[in-house]
Amino acid sequence: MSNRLSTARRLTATFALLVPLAIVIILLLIPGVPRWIPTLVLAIAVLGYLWSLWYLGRRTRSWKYAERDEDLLVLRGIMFKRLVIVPYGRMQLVDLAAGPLDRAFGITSLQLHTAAATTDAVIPGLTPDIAAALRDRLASKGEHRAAGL
Amino acid sequence: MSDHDEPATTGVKYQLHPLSPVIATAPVLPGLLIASWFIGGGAAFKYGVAGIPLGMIGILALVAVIFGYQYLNWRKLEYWFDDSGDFRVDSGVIYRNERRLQLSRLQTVDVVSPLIPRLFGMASLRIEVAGAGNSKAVLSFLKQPDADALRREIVGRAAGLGEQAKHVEAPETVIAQVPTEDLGLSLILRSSTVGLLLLTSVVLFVSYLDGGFKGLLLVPVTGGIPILMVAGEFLNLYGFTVATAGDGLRLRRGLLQTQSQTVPPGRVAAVDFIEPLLWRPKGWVRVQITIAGVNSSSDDQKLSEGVLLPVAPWAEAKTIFALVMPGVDLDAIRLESAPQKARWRAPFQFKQLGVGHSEKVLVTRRGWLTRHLSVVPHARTQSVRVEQGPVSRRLGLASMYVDVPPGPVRIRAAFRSAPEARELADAQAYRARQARARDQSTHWANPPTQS
Repeated sequence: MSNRLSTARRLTATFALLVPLAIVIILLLIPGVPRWIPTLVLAIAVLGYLWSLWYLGRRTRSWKYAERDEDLLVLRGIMFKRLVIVPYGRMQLVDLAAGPLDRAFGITSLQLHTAAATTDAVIPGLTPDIAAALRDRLASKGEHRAAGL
Repeated sequence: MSDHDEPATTGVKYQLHPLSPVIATAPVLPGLLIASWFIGGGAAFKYGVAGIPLGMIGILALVAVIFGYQYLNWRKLEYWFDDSGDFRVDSGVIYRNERRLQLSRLQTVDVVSPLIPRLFGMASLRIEVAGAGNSKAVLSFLKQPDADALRREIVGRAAGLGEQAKHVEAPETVIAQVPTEDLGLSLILRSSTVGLLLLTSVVLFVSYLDGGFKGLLLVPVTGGIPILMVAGEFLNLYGFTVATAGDGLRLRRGLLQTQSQTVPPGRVAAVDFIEPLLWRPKGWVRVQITIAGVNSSSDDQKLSEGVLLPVAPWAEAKTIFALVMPGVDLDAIRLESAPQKARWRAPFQFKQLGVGHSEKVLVTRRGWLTRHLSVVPHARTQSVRVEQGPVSRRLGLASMYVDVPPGPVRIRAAFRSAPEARELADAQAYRARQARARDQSTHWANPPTQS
């Protein structure tokens, strides 16, 4: 995984921090609200933010994938761990997606689809060239092993 | 296709029955009638007696517009079998839609007859092929025998037979019929119904003690929902019949709206035996199935789609299971129970937890109040997952999931020891690969050539 993914995720978390900050400011502006309430909200928000900076870093680092002979393995998660095995023969399509923030950071996420909607195989934070190469490799492996439903 | 003896040939285009636009318009009439009371009344109020014909003209104009649209829909819809053996439907007035259904990927064919078309002896045909999203075609309406003939031809062609398939009437053998009283009782005894009814009585009791009647406001909700649920399912599943025919399994059901679904062999992606708490004294079980492509489309029929058998004794359920997954002996599969430490995570369902496999299928068991015994053929495994939440991680547990196409069945080997779950996942991926290499269910009537 590219390190830029952590940075992108942290930036999103920073945007999310704006919401409690706005609440704090509103609370300060309303007369009659005791001062300790906005202070408490601010403290919780800042602590949560610091924790998320640390946690997001760990979580993005936990994301791993492996191309094995017959299937793709995707491993992720710290609190909720998850391992997905997708046989190449079952892949129906491979998606590459990059939002505006992702593009600014030069990362792309790759998603595999099978006939099951519950297949949750996403690999985020790849650099575009690696992602494209992986997609082409997966597509050709899928073709060789294609099977009906 | 007004005369069903007429031979269907490849390339010849057909239209739906000419009465279709009339039948399609009919359901809006009651609503318009009610609206006309209000509009007519309003107009009469505003313009005096002269307003009444004015309001009527307005309503008639609206009916004419709807009918005109339905008429164009009918004019523009054509269906035929093309040279490559696909079924084609061209439709649409404003947006043209040319749909091509690959019959080798046929999943189910339904002949549905809602109340009003039924009065006219008409039915609509729903054809589902495998695929994500909207992968079906609906033909509304055909005369009942024509719909049956077309169904036969579609299933026959999908099986690899040629045009003559239409004339081969597959004889039906009824295997199971759900008695009406069993169906009614079973729906009332379902855990969700009983739970809501219990809640209702608690609410009633508390508001009685309390002397207030605010609590009574909840009664229509907690009491009404189960009644509606039971009534809805009862109407839908009434007279449920399972029969075998040469072209697959035929499921018939419905009181007001009748439906007959044909499931060709080898289409079932997963099976779930569901056993609510209060069914156990009776030894009843419900069987639900996932068929790829059927549940992925958003549909008002969704509620009871996927029911293979609404309620039956175990023995009967197993007989029918043997038809959808031939050669699988459930009793011979030994279920491995969960490790002792899983008690901490799942104290109630612990005793039920189990997973096992045979050469062809993976079986999992779970649930406390409502038990689930789920079966998935290795060949239908899409992907495999292992998940572990924070509590499970402390205990060294993990759950293994098998992903199957969207539908009512979820396959989960819950709360195994972490290394075992991982092993199960790898083993399942391996078995899936092996099974897939052998799988040949696309053309089941002929030996597969190229699909």
